Amino acid sequence: MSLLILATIVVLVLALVAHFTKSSAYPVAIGWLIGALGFGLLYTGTLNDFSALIAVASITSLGALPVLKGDHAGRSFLFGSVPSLTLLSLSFLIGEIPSPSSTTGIVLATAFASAILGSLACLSAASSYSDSGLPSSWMLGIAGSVAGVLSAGQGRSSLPESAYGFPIRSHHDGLIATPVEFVVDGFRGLEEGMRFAASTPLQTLEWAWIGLALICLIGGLIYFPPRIVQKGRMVFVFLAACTTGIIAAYLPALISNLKLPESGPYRDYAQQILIAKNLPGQVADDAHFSSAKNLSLSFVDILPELWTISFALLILVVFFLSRFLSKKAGENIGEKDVGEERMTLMIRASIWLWSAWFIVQVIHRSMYGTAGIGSSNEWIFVGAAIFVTGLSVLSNMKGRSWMRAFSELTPGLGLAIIFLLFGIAAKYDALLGFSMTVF
Amino acid sequence: MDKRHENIPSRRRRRHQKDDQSTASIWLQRGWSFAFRKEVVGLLCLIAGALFMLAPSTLALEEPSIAWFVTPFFNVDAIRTLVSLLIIIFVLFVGMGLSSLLAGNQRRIFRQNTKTIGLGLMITSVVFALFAWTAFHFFLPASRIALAVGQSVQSLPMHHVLGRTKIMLPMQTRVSEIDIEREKVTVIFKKMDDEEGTPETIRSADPIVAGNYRFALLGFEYNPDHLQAALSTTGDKAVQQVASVGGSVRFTLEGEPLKVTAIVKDYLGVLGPAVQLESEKTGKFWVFQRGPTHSMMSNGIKVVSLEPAPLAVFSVSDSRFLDAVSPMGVAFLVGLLIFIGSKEEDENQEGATQ
Repeated sequence: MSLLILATIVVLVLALVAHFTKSSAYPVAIGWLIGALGFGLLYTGTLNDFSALIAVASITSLGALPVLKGDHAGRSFLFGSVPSLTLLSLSFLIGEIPSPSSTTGIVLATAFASAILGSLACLSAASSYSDSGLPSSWMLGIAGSVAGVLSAGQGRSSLPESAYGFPIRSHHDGLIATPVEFVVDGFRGLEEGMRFAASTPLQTLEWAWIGLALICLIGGLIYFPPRIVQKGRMVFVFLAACTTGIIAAYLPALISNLKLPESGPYRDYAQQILIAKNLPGQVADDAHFSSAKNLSLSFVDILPELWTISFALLILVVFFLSRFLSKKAGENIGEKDVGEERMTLMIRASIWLWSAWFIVQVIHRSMYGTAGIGSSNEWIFVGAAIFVTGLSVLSNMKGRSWMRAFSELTPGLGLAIIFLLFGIAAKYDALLGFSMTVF
Repeated sequence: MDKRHENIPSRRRRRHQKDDQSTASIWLQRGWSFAFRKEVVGLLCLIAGALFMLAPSTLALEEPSIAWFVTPFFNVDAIRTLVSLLIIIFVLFVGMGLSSLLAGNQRRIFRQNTKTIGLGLMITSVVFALFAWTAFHFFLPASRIALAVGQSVQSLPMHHVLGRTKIMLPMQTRVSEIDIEREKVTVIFKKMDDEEGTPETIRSADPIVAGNYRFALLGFEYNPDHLQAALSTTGDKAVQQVASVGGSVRFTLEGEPLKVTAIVKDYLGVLGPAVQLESEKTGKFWVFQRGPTHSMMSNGIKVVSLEPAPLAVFSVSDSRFLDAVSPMGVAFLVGLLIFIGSKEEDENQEGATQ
């Protein structure tokens, strides 16, 4: 937890540097460097938790920092340095994408990661362009991120219908923490036995997440009616900040008090599978968890949660800071330019997404010899790219007030969709846009 | 936006100076200025994107399973609807681009045009790549086959727009060797008039093209229905050989090869594992695992054990649609370079990006 606080401090420092130098180039550069460091450490396997955390924090900082109009250095850095950062972020993907021909695989995986991250960075930057200064668009992004977290959390246990939970690991002396599994020992007829990933159900935390998502959703969408509810919106921002704070404070309590899930549902599920295989179901009665001692949690396993918490905390904190500290940042952006800036950034986001799609085709082609197998995952990715393209076209509407309000929401909607899809992909243990069936 | 569209009506108005402006042309103008708005295009994109994202969930409802996320999705109606939507969107994009270019000429801003050209190139390449991609999955998606050593295929079951169908391969395809450790498989492609055939090695992540079809090695699997038999001679110098149906065994250097024609788990329900062998000299005969081995009947061969045979899993796909995607990727990159290359100041110009 102290690490999370450290990461938050890093990002706050970056935001302050941005404020005082009145240029986004330095903090963005520092952010990329720290991110690169984090991913590099992840890649080499040193200080896994710490480096994962740093990487998350730096990406979040890039999302939270507005790149000011007229700040060409900062903008070109944002645009140009995405690939260089992700040269190192492939560490994430290297375990995910099976790439038998290593060099090509690494290059392709890097390119894919850079494209996706670039699109997220552009969408985040576009979210900061708002007429009234209220981060409605960000609120939608947070809501999507939380929905993604919930979705990802449901897939962590092997049970077909499982509640939201954390994957648990167990420490042994001198060994790396290994995931806790529900084990059916091997017997005649099923020599290798069966193993099911276990996750600890977290009902309270799930409700907190749902609450945060709802608050952010309402706070974001409240933009649509005419602007009578100016103060009402601030209430939602405040509520969202409080809920995020509570979740962040609740996490260490959870981590120090981890429990094994109840074995009943696992036993029933194992029994069903055994009976379906024409094997004696009673064998499941002797099944057990692989370890009940020294339970722990790995930060790498709960990256979506950490991402979302730091993303939400940062945006809300940066917003409050910007209310108190700086009115100049807003003044730099001429009122007329706000929409155009947002549109430029969103067009870049969709360009990045389509580049990622082309890279997916190349990876599929080298792996399967085909343009994928047309799986649901691929369809959803194409859909997301078309959707974000549509949003970018609509991101600078002029005319009636509801049109302008919708334009302000578009980057947030794009973020929400992408975060949600990442969560769904994580639920099915896949990588967004890929079909991995045989490997 | 509005200024741009005024050009066309005003030009027309000059042409039809007198009061013969028909209602049809008024409607045409109205339609033009309504359709080529970014609001319409954006909305259509949102609808198409949402449909793309939601379409696979129709599959999930039919077969609720956790695997739907990475299994092929095939829905003719969904693809038809989406392709029609894409065509409309593309036409509207082209219209918007043309309007933008016309307006740009009037303002004599060349750089702005390069930006539009870059963006236009990217949009065009994406749309055509999407057409190729959907056409690929629509007409003839990849087929997955699993072959054991010795097994050969001449046709493939494939999803077609008309339903499931069999596609004839241009060559007979036979697997001659499976090397699981090195992840490679030797396949022999044999044409009608070619007796020997040409052996080709397929490694994982290194597909080959034969005829118009691209073969990619996806991995290996064991299927309990595909068995291989370990056979041995009964004499003092027992030699053990492993083969599956279609393969052959030879127990002495000069002996003739015996072809395995059938493997049965339990012969007639009582005699246990049995393998049928065939050679020109002896004809077909059965050998067994259980019971005494009569050298008269079984030529001194017995079954040691039956085990699942490794199958090489291939994906076979029509390579023609796919080849369209690569040039589109290059075109996209060129468009991206043009887009980045045009100067930053241009973004200040209204309509530069659309």
